[in-house]
Amino acid sequence: MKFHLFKGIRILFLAVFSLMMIYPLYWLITSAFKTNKEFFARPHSFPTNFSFENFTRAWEVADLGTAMMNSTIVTITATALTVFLGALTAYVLSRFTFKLKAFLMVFFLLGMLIPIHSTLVPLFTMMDQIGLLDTYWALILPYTAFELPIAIFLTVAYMSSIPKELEEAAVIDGNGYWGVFFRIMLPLSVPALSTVAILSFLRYWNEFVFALVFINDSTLKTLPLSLSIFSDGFSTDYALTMAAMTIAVIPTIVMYLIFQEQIMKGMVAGSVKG
Amino acid sequence: MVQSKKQKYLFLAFCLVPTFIMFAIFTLYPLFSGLYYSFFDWSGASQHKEFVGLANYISLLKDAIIPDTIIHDYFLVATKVIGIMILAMFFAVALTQLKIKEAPFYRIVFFFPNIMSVVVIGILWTFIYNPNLGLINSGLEFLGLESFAKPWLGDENWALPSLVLPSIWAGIGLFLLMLMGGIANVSKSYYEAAEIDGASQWQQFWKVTLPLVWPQIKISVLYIVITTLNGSFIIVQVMTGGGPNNATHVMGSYLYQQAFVQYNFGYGATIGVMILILSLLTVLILQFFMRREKVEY
Repeated sequence: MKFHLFKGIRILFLAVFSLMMIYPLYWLITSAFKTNKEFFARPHSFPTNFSFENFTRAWEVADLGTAMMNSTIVTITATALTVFLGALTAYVLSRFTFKLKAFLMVFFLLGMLIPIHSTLVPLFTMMDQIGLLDTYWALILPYTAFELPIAIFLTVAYMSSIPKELEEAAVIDGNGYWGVFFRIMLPLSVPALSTVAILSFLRYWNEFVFALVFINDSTLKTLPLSLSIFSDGFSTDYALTMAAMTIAVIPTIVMYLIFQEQIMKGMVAGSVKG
Repeated sequence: MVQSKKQKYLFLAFCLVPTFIMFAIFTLYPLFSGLYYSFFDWSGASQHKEFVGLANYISLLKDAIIPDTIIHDYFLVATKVIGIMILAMFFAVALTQLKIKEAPFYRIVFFFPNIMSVVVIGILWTFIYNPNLGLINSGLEFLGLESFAKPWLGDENWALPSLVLPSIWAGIGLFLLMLMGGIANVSKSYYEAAEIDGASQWQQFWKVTLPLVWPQIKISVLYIVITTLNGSFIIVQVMTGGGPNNATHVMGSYLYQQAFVQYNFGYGATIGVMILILSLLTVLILQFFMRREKVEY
């Protein structure tokens, strides 16, 4: 009896807490469809009629079309680069023995500890000198560099669990290193690599600090940067702000709902092996 | 292998060199050049850099705002670690032990904020804290606790604690997943044995679950610490801009203000060096205190 009561309390707590987790999201999306008048009158009710006016206005005011385009270019290029370089490096680190291997592992491991803030001033200066500021590369390159350690470790852990016999068979069939990599290791590592890809995608799509410091040109602004103008400039136009944020969140929600199984598995596997 | 040693090393170089170079240029080199810039008085824009020795470090020690930013950062670190770990642990144990069929639904819901940009989270929570129509004050009013309602982010004493709730809300899902991964890996036979020995659920948690998922706990705590020291800047920048009256400035936001708003690049670099040293020290100390013999039954 006592046990059942305890169980009931825990389930109740879970339910209440998950409501708290989801409510801000519900509020965000429903408010986006309201007029400001309705939002002020009844901020937490369901919209009486759905108006798309906020979305079209937010799209124009914050130039979200351009921002969406910039975010897409930067995110996809950096994700592709991360997955490719990460896979190559992980293949070598998991399958070959050579003198500098232990050093390289530690080197990349330490990379995870470097605080982004410590690199802001020097990176800005360096990019200024070589003319990278206000280009897509100003984001793509540092994003990739900072994400590579995690990508490498997730992939090394996965590749180490692939049986060596498969590669040996491929070598007997006349494959060189590249053949083994592209025909055996890459296809077999797809589960780990897709986890890396999804995590990098989410991180790059949402990144703010580097974008804030390295991008000044308004035609190159990414979504989080375009949205940040709503944090002060338009803060009284609530419905407009909510609509702009909804537009920015939708691509990641869609991606999350499609790949959530993969994300969950990747996180759990990463945590157990890491 | 049919291929020669030379071919092997050529292949290794091809695989490793691009990663190594990129990593070295964009993460390692800045640490050293940051140290170099910290010895100069420099506005960033002009060619003119004046070597000032340790002057920036002396101003750092004399700067009255610096100790506040450090305290604010570690306040966020401590409250986040405690809040996230207790809640994530509770829900991870509940979801794995209760065996309810809605478990996948809860996982999806809890992880949801992790897919959103901190900018969106920050603006959204600014609205939630809005004194007139935000959820918090509306909720207090609904419960008849109007006297507790306040302009949360505009109040010098409450602005910083107000930043904790969104951070926990946004962070819990990831660590819930990591801990659930750890718990799922614990063999059922330990719990069965504990059951036979008459151990209560509470005892099972302390004697079986906690020691066996210690590696995941350790990684989670370290991860929260690193990401908070690294990322508290964004939520501060979006929600309060460091105010009111510097009450929420963290090291990162102060660095940003000094270097990119007031153009004290040399001083900004100095703050960067301080952040690096403090984070590395924190990680080292935590590693030391959280080390434990690996438990195997």
